Amino acid sequence: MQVTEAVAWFQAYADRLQQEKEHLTELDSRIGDGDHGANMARGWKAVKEELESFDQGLSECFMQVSKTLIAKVGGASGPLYGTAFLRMSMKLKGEASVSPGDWAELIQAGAEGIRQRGKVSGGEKTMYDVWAPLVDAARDGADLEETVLLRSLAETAREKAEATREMKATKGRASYLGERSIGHLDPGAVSTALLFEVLCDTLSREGM
Amino acid sequence: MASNSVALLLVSHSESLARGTRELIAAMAREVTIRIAAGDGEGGLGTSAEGIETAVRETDAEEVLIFFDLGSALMHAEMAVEMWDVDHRKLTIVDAPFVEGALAAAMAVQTGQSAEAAVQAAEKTRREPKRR
Repeated sequence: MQVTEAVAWFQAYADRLQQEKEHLTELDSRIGDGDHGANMARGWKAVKEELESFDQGLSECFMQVSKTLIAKVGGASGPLYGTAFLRMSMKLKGEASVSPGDWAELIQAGAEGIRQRGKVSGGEKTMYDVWAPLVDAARDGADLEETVLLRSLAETAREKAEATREMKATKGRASYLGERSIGHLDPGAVSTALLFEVLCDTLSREGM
Repeated sequence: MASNSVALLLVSHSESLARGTRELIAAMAREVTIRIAAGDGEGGLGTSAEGIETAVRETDAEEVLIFFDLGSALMHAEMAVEMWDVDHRKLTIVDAPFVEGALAAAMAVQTGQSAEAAVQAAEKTRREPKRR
């Protein structure tokens, strides 16, 4: 993945969030305060606008995303995604591209940021329950061709997001629901699955 | 005599909640500076690291004690403390009940106690039942 592809990924994700806004908000209104869709759509719209004439490197691109999300996304997802992109940006310092063997370390940097910021350890029905297993999936697929690896990441992300349905929330506002949080998807896990699905779709496109 | 080197910052998702809490506290701790960073800036619910940074910059206190309502307000406060150079002010995020904690801290500052004592007073409110 080169910087132009990363920019295309983030812009396509911004568009996808506009379409999924209602759905994410609906998920969040079941176990949260119902602002995840609107917050994410607004924040990533700003990311898209700021990347329109972007001419710097990969690390700077991730840093720009981080800064915009921290400034524009309210709720917990601003600091969580913002920290993930900040840590990934630091990991990408001086790198011109991400090859299949690099994804595990890159995602791990992001996951680690979320773990620390959210004070989570896994199994608490949060976006971390998607980020953490993606590290293993990326490690297992390090020798695969890029599009095959990204397809595997997208599938793992969706599967792990679905798995949050049966979890009981013990972090964040959903934890106030206790047992009643079971049976609903975690909105942050779903928006993370979308992020990796859009990554796969974008880099698998003809001409990318 | 209140020390003006210590200020309080109330970080809340709701501007009404922050304003109401400040009103309640200011009725007793009359000379303490209490700032607010609350709401999404557009009249809705939310918190922002930028709003917290701005509120900190607007105080001339050397030390700012930050109180927060829910977990994501804490995350925004932590981001603000880590990411921005807020001159040489000392920022302390206090993990305490929003209303009682901030009131206890404000009263400590009002009566001339140190910031450290104010933090302890705030943290103590978590362990003290209201009915006793």
